[in-house]
Amino acid sequence: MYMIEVRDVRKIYGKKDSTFEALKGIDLKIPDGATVAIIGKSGSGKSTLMHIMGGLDHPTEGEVVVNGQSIGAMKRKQIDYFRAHELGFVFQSFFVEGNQTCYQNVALPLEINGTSLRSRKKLIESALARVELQDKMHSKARNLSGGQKQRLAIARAIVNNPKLILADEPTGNLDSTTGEKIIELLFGLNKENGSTLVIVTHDHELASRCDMQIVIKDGEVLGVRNSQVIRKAAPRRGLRI
Amino acid sequence: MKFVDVLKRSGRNLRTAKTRTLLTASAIAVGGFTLTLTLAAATGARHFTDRLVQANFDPKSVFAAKDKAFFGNGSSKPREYSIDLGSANGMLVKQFTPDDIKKVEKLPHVVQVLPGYTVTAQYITRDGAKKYTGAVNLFDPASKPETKAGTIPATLADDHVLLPDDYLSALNFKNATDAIGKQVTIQVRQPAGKVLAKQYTVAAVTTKSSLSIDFNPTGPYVSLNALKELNQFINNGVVNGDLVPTVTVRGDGISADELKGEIAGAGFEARTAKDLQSFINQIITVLQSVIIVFGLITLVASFFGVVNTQYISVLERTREIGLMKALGTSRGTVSRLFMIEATWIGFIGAALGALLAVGAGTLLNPWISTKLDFGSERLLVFEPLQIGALVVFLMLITTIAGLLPARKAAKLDPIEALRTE
Repeated sequence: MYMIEVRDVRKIYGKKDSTFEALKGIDLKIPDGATVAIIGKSGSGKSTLMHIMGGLDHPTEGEVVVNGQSIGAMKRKQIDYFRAHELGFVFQSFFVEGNQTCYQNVALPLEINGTSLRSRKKLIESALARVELQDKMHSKARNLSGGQKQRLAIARAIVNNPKLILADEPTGNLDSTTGEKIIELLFGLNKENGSTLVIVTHDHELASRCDMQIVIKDGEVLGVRNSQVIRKAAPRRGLRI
Repeated sequence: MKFVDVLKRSGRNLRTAKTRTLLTASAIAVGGFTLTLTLAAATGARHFTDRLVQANFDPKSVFAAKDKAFFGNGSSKPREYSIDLGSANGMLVKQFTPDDIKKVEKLPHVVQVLPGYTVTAQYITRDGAKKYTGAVNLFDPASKPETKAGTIPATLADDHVLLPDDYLSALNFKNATDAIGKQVTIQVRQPAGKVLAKQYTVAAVTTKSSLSIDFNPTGPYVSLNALKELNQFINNGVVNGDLVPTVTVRGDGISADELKGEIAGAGFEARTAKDLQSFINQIITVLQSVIIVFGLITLVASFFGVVNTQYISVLERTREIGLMKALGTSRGTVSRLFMIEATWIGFIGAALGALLAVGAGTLLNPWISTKLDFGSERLLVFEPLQIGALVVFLMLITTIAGLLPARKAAKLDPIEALRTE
């Protein structure tokens, strides 16, 4: 069973004369429950690929199947539903709301997916406890350190128990010690919840700890390497590096 | 997203930008303030005229003139001569002859016709007092003046008089009670110089209530017969001396409007108390409309203020909107979030304006009443329903103002939005 199947995806920006092909036919299969690193330099197309996986961007050609559903065939409302219920996002710049409390920040996905007011409190508290921010529950997010902010962002990403977490350079803005803790946290959550984790990064050390590494260069998959510890059978595609 | 979450979230967004919210809302508040006061003043004025008309006009009576021009604006064109032309209110109008009055009296439902004599006394005096000028007015039994002393009789005897309290000290009375039963003298004079002095007994001392409008000049009131006698004496030998421009007609078993029709059938013009009231109310409506237009103009300005504020808000929160959309917020919800924010601004502004208006109005009401001689009447009457409707209206206006910025927010591309640092 694959969480994500990317089939010959192309993405072309611009029109007519000034076109730029960001993705040049990507084929990938990401198994359920795996941790995957998408590695590449800036401009390689790795972010575009992640956006397409998350339904934020549409491929010019090709198909993306997430959790058995083709994103291209979904209506906007279905994509919204998919993102609200089955997806968690973690960003390089955290994107937490400074004027709001930690509790309010984590509440956002639950508000969006219409979780009943009664069940919210428990979910939020357990998400905050999972990232060890329960004592900061009612502090304003702007008073948190960088690492705490990213932990808060992770709590927000996991509060709706998503099947898939997409993390865009989650340690990019953090020092190595703090980054290390965030990585531990993300891997720990992956093991506990069995959710699939896709990390876009250019940090090779972080990448090496993932079950699967996908190297992208100039919009093409340069290579896919599967590490030894994949719980479910993963396909072997492309070049080994 | 649940509506209650949208409501809370938009409220929270406004609280984060308190100053901006308040400033934008205060623009709305100016409009709300003006409109609340205008509505209150118009309501108060209408209440006042209602009570004024009730207090001063007998609902069974109508006010009749022979000439349509009396109720109109007159005309500058030369008029064809007619024997019954006379001047009234500075216009040349056809007037009632004694025969005309008899004709009106004979109408089936008419019980009383009071001619609008205007008698000016040469002077009014009593023993040991100085002489004072004044008019002699007709006492209409249907009018019920307030008294300071004595009682208003059902029919005023021809040798009795009702004395306004203005004359008390002038005529050397100690107080109102002192005047009752005392004699006063009214002297009238013919154009040729011949005079008639008549003695009257004071039956009651009247006072003006804040609601009474005295169409008559200051002076004592006498019975119809007494006034007729004075009028006949003054106008004895004068051509058309017995003409009157207007009469007050009292009907029975018939509504004022039907009575008006009956009189019109006899060839005269009549106006009911309601006609007068609607005429006054028309003036109030015109004045009110003018102020409302000004209020609406300030609203147009604040409308664009809200549009501008919301645009800035969308720009400022591009990243937040991007995040919300990335997390699966639908376009509709994003749009609703900004619309409701604008609605909130409208609510705050309108509530603020209305509150200030009610506060200022309540404080100023006694002062206005003194200045306008309203007595216990209040000019500004605040009706909760009216204010509620105004608040809803202003909320609607700002919601519409929030439409365009909300659309912009809804259409934001989350990838682009999240790229902004």
